[in-house]
Amino acid sequence: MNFWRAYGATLKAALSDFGALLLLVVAGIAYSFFYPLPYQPEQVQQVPVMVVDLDHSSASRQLTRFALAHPQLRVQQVTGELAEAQDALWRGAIDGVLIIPRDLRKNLLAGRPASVQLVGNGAYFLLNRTVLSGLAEAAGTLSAGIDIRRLEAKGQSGAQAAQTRAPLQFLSRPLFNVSEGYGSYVVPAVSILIVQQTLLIGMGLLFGTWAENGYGSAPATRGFGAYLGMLAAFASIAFVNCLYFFGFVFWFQDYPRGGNLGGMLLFAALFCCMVAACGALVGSFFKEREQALAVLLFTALPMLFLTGFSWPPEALPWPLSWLRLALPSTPGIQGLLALNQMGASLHEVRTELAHCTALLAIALTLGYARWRVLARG
Amino acid sequence: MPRPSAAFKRSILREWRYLRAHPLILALASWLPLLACAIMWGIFSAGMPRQLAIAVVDQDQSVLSHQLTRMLAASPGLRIALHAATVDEALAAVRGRSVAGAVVVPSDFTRSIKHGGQATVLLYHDAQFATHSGLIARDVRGVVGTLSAGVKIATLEKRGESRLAAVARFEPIQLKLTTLFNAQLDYESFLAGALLPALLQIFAMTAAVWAVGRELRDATVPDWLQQADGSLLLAVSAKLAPYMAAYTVLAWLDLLWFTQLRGFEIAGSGWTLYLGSALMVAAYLLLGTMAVALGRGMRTGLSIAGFYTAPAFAYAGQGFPILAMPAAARLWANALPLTHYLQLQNQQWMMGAPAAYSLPHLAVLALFCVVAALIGVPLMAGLAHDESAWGAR
Repeated sequence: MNFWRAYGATLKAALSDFGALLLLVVAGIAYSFFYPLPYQPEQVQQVPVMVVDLDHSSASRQLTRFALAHPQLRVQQVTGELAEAQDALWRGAIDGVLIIPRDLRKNLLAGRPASVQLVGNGAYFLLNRTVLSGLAEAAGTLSAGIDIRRLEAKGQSGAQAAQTRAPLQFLSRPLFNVSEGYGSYVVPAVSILIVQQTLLIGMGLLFGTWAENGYGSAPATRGFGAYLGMLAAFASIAFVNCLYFFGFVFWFQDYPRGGNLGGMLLFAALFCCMVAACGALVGSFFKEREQALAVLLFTALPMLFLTGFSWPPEALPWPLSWLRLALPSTPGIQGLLALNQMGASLHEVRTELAHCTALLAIALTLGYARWRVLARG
Repeated sequence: MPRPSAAFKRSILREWRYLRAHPLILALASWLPLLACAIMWGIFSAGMPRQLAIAVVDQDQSVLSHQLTRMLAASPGLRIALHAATVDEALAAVRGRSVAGAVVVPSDFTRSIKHGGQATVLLYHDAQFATHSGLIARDVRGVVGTLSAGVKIATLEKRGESRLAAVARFEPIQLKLTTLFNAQLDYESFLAGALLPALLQIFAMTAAVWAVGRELRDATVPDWLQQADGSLLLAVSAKLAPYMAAYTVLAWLDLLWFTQLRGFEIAGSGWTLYLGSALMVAAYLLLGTMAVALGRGMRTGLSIAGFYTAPAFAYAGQGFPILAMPAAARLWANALPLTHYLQLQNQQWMMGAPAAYSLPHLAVLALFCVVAALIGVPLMAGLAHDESAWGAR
């Protein structure tokens, strides 16, 4: 009885406080459109490059045509001056250079070793990779054509030549994010963090507000049942946010989704309870209404990179390996990515399930201990 | 005629007394951003992820496939964590995230090559973890390419070419790939170097909103203005001065840390970097003031600051490039001082461009300061005399 009374009182308190409502409900919806926006194109295409043609031959012109035709590249200019390309790189006008050396055609005709230099802007990894792979494909196409003609001249058939040329083929099969889209990679994980942060900061706002009145206006001051009811109310709000993101937003943005629906619902419920418990523990330290907003804002960035989805956890120094285990976002994002995007079974996320349960237990114990002292006093 | 410098000093002391009495806010301007930066740097301090776990499914079990496996194991970027019997077993390991990729050698691997044909090495990689996936694909592609070249050279030799000629001619056009400016593809300078300013802008704008907003919230505006001899401009300047000092010192410490202690030397002009980072701090402090003025209060100002600074790193173009964003996103990106500062930082620190090419970025940062002040200060002056705006929570 106490549980449900506290549940209802908490929901009422949370949703009638304009500041809390903004954070718990509106912020998630606003960010759900704002955050994916820059990544909408998903791929990087048409990166401006320059061709430095020192050969001025039919071979160099053919290579330039291949570069022109490649969707990842946009050839801004063909020049004979290396310095011009260097300058354009510095100005930010281009992010890659194809340098065709003198005597390319002569060397090719004579069967001598020939090379071209592909240059990428290493200050921007994604641009660098796009430029180098695009230029490599263009140059590789030209090279393959020459190689096959040479082998045919030696008496091989076209099919034979293609096989001699590259006896081992490398085939890459991207899993789960099959289009290898950038948005599909980043936004699902960030969505979970948005749900967590809006709940943590929203709870911090309310707890700080209650602290200002000595917790007199807090909805659940007596008993563990009431405390659980309060947490359950916050967890419910977060759960609705989860459904919004995993149901609507992933569909709207067309991200990989829906891998293990039942498992995801169960895990999301556990995740929301865990975050609510953490929110109450953290919130108990705020003595003013606005403190949570000021203090918790920066935490999203480090937490995101400690998760392990964008930076391998094996590359972390050991103190940070331990720190990441204390963060609810770590098992939350790992587990939900696996269930939503990878179609993992509950067995395959058992580590994350255990981790969430452990964090829930710890946060619940510590949080209630603090709550009893604060709400009584 | 009261001396402005005395009023300035009084106002700064007033702010300092508040900070002394409120350790949480003092933390926001001192050890908390330092700790956050240290953690952020620590995450990427290894520079390059090594020994990424993969599974190998060798369905051929031949001399050649064993050679491939040995070469994979020898690659510093890879670690064979699982020798799986079936593809299903390997894929289960991927879903369980104990490996991020699975190399599959088909059962007809050696047979295909022996008969002069082509054999395929298949790599399943977890593209949901794009960094792991990209690095693994690059390393495995490299190993397969090396092995393929070896097989091809051996075949050419068998067909009568001398070894020397075969090695020289196995690919008509050889590609020399050069990555400029960050040749090692070091994530420490690429990501941590950009994330530290991203953290500082969150702190700076938040601190400014709190510092200015609390006067409205606590209705202490009369006392605040009185200490500054009635001049709001002086009051705001004195209030922001300690935060300007604190965050500029932090920003410069960050630069010194990377460029002097971690060995990523400044390739271009140092003074534009240091000036640029100071201007960026000033811009965010003034934008925080503007946020309070536009939001008519501290809490709304904090919400505005959150919306403006929290997603800023995503829009700033360091990870996903600006040129690939849709027009609306590019517009928003250019409305963030962080974007312009990071472009300047990349130009001067990593790329070594002439200082003249970064002057436009310095000008834009200065423009942010001016516009924020021109909007924020007059609006604040209005709110300072409008009692209905005081006490808003």
